Amino acid sequence: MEHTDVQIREEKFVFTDKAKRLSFILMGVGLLLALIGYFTYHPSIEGFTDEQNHHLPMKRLLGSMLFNGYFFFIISTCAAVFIAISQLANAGWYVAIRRIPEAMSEFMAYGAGIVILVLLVGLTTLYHWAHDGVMESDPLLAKKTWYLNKGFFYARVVLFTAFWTWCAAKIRQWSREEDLNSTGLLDTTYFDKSFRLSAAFLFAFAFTFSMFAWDVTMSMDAHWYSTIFTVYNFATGWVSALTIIYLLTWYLRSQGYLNIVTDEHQHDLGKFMFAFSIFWTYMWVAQFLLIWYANIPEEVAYYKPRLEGSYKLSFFFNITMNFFVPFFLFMRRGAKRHKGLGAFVGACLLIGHWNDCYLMVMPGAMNLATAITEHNPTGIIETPSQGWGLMELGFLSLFGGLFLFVVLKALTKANLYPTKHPYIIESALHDTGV
Amino acid sequence: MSYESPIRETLVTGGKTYADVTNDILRPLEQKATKSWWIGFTLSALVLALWIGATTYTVLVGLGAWGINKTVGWAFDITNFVFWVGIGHAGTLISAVLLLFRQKWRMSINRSAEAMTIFAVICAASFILSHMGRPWMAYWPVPLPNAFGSLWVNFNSPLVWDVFAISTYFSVSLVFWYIGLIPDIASIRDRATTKVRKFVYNFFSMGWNGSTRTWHRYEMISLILAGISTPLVLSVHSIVSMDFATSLVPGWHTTIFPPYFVAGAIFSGFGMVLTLLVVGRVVLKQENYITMGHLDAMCRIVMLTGSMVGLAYITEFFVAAYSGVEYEQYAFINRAFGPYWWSYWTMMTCNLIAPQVFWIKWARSTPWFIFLMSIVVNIGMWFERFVIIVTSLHRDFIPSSWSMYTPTIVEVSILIGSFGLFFTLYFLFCRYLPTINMAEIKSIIPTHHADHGHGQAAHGEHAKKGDAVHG
Repeated sequence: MEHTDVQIREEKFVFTDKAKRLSFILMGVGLLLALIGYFTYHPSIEGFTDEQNHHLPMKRLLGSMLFNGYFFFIISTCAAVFIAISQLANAGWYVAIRRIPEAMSEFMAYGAGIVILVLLVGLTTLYHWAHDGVMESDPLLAKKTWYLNKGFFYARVVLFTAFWTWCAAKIRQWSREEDLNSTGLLDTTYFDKSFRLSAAFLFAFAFTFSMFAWDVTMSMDAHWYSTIFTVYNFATGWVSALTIIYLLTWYLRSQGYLNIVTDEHQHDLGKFMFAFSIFWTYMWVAQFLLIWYANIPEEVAYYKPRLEGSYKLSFFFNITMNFFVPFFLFMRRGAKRHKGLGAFVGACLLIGHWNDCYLMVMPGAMNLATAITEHNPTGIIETPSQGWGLMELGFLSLFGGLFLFVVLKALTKANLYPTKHPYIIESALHDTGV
Repeated sequence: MSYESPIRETLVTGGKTYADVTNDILRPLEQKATKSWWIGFTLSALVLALWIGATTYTVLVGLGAWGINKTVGWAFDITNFVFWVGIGHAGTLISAVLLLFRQKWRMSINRSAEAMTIFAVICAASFILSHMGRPWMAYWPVPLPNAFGSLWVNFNSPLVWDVFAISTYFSVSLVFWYIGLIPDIASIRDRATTKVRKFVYNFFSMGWNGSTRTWHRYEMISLILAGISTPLVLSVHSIVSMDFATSLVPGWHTTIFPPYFVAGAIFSGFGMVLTLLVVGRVVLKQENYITMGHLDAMCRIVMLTGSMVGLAYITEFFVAAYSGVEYEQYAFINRAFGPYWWSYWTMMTCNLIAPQVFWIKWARSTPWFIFLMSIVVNIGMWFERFVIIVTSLHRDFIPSSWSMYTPTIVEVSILIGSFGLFFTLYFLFCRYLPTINMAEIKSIIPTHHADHGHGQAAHGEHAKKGDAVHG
């Protein structure tokens, strides 16, 4: 089964000092900015008491850390989901770029660590329902204690993230072992193993990610609920993961790696970014339109500060970056094959989905608890938006730098593409004929 | 066309040549109608007569012929409408979405699935017409100028969006199906022996001559129509779901409805495709084209979409419990344990639990069992709509308005009759049009089996499938 026109090489990625330095600078600068942000943040919001103002810096610090950690965690998890789906769909085209999502999935352990750490330290600071006495005094939340209680909450988060991380690690390990031990392109030992685990992983993931999203982001606004919320969260992580795969593919190709990857692969990744941006928008519309249309007070409470309140700017920025930019700029065939335009749209999407995580976490995290009265039946004081400051951006830089470091380091651990995957020749000769 | 790994299964088995393909697929059209065709067609036509009778009766008597009442104003008819619209999703999904994903296995099943789509949408539309009570006013949902009277449609209503979505979907699906048929119709024309036959097929082949230029345009328009159809597939059932979800009724108003309805539609559509093809491939002797590999792939899709729908059921149930809203909670407890509990558990069993058997290889490779499962899926998806519609309505906000709904014999006759409409059209389709896209199939048969003279399909590398047969 040799094909003389295809050169399957054992490419190794070299993690240059320059790239290392960049990731360390990002991390260092990020940490510094976040700390400066924290120590220089002395809010004096109109109508708030000194004590109330005093709570805000810690909330903002932990909230920023949480949504940034969550953002990179769901990206790395969705990279693992990308591998699982491609494996199950018997896809051939993606094999040449498979090591990129594999490397991204190596961040899962770090991402999960960050999220769990913030939850351990900051659950009571961030989550309204976790404040002492809130669950007992709030008649609506009192009905949720069977689900929203600290023990069960931690158990779920730790168990689920650990299970996904384990699945991804196994799939990654088999893929690397295949390079070393496979007898040739007809040997499907590792392929079959990976296929079976992918099926189990994906099935379990669908159900457990639902709870994970309810826990980490939806319960931030504990009175509120939406059945599509999970899929919406997944869409955010999924589009961001596809975007990073697309950008890393450009990067590696521009450095002279991935000799078998062509514009065809790049184009297909671009199509995915385009199509799933519409998918994200579909989920966005499903949630927003139905809530807006029905106009039930319990439900519109979520959109009130976002659509009409102080988060208005973020709200419209969100739909612009995540829908309008990719929709109009990435529709043309040539755009997906154009490095500069691809990088621009990719950057917009990443900022857009980062902002989406911000919008899901920060408004709830910054709110303050107060006594339930006739005039304030929810017992919540809404803190106006504090915008993006040094803390939000600092943690983006810190975790972004860490993500970059972990992913590039992971790329060095194996060949840049699986040399003995049964579909590697298919992928190398990939051509959609359009 | 590109290289394919030897570990992939061949899509067309039996070492067919181009001539074999044409002969095999056109046999049912060109020979005299078989006995089994006449039996099937006559039975379907009789059931269709039932539909005509029951619908006519409804129109003459009015909606009082049905079991609906003040509280349960939507029941059997809307259930049937959503059921048929849902079935009408697989066809365009297979031909459009799978075309965009370059899934070549779709080529043996897309034609019949698209035909099914069109017939299912016709069935669905018939329920809307009969529910109107006065079908001669059917043009009222169309935004016609005021010259027709003082009525103007309410653009805020999802029911109006539905009119647009479904009519667009129907037209585009029809065009897509027809364009795909043109090369095959030309083949039939070229082989036609009678004058009438030659004239009719010649008319519908639109002067197709098989030149490179016509092929080029054909491929171009296919891709464009696939691009247009893909959002349409998603939009139709999303908007159908909004007929419910924009309301304030607990059990209807939930944000997961649009994607959950789409997943359910694909699920039920594939259920119906399996019902038709598991039988059709044997009766029409197409086992080499619709192989066990095709059935296996469809079973996997049924399992996947069934699990998605199941996830949505569980999500709805959980969020109702989590929400703390009494109305939501009651709606779901009433579904599972109220007077219509049996419909809820039928739905759960058929849609979430039953398709899980497809994890087992035996289940995916045993045709009679697949057929049985496809019927289970059809039943489950009908009940899903019944559960959503009737159980959410029959317990009104005011207990004095509570009521029960029982269908009358007229409604049951219309439902059964709609299958007559569907199958009559399907039998006619099998008799007069090729049920498999010959032109596309010829592009994927192992090339060294085929006669190389046939311009279009032969430009693949000989490396591809030959290896799969001998390597």
